[in-house]
Amino acid sequence: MPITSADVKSKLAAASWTNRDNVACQILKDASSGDIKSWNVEAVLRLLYNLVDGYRSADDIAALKTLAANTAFQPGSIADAVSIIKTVKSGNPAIQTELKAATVTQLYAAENKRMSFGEGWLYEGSTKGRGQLGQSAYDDVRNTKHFKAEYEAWATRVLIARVLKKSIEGYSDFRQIDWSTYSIVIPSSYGSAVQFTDLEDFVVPAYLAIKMQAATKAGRSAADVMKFGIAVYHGMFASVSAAQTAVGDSVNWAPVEAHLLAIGKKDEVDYVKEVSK
Amino acid sequence: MKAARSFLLVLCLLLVACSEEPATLQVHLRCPANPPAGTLVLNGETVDIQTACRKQTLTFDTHSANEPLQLKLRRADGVQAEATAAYGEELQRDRHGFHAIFELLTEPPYVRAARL
Repeated sequence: MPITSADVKSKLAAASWTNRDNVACQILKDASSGDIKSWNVEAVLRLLYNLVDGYRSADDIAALKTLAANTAFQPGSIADAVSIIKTVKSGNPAIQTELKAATVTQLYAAENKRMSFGEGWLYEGSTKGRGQLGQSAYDDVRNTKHFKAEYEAWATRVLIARVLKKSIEGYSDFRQIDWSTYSIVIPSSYGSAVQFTDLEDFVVPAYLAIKMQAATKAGRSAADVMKFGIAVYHGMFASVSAAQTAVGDSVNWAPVEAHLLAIGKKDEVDYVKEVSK
Repeated sequence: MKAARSFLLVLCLLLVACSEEPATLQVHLRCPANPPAGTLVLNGETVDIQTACRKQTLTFDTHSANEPLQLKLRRADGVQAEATAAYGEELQRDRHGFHAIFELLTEPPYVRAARL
């Protein structure tokens, strides 16, 4: 007989308050890995609550390890995030061919090189984190036109994985859990979201994909869509538009790049090259 | 002590100012070699076409978040036309604020919103 999410809830509810951690351990001993994988957010968080409430015994930690190893809510890599983003934007050929996990790490490196002294640890400007994005970018990513459903699913997945890992390590960081509904609270401000690197690892490529989509136009190559997208991501809209007007070409990147270099905007050109290489 | 307090106050004000995202709107105009006489109505303001084309970029203090932007062309020869830049398409936001591109044309449709 498989153990369902509803079974988890009813078994825990039927147990006395003092015995619930033992019941939670027994549920995890009796469940198959397939059962555990099928459990929803509420079931996983109810088990977590009863395993971390009060003293954490060796049995509680072992049960937490079983839960963390088998739950559907696993940590996510940048490559996982990029794969989801490509699926959502499957109709855009440039996003399919040009957006890669390496693009994101190259973008982090390019932003890091350009941060001023103290930025990120002493103070934050209007843009935050390794990808240097602001609230409006975060709002765009969470818009129903773009990645709202996928981001919420991602955030739920990685925040549960994170809290399980921390709980095994003995920490009690439950700030993203609403215990009254046994649900995950997804940060509404980018300042809060960016504290979780795995949330940022979704938001950054998602926002770049949005900018690539907006940079897609007839006659423009996929590689150039990427470069225009990166330029707008980096706040270069005004200088790129002026360059297009100056060279009389609103499709290709090469003449824009040549103009930007001619007027001394080498760092902006370098940024685009570093991210798109 | 007083100087230290003043320094901290200025620092706090600077940090607050730096932590807000700009909501300025820059409209980038692409005009024909000889722009016609007339006016443009943009973001509630009326501007002379030839003056605007010389400037190439018009800057406004604020734009209502994510609203479409309409440009109305009123040429002196009687030609009237309108174009709208939609947010996420021709109207974009970057870390410096909102941006839109409009092209003025010598032939119909006379004005159109353009992507970067």
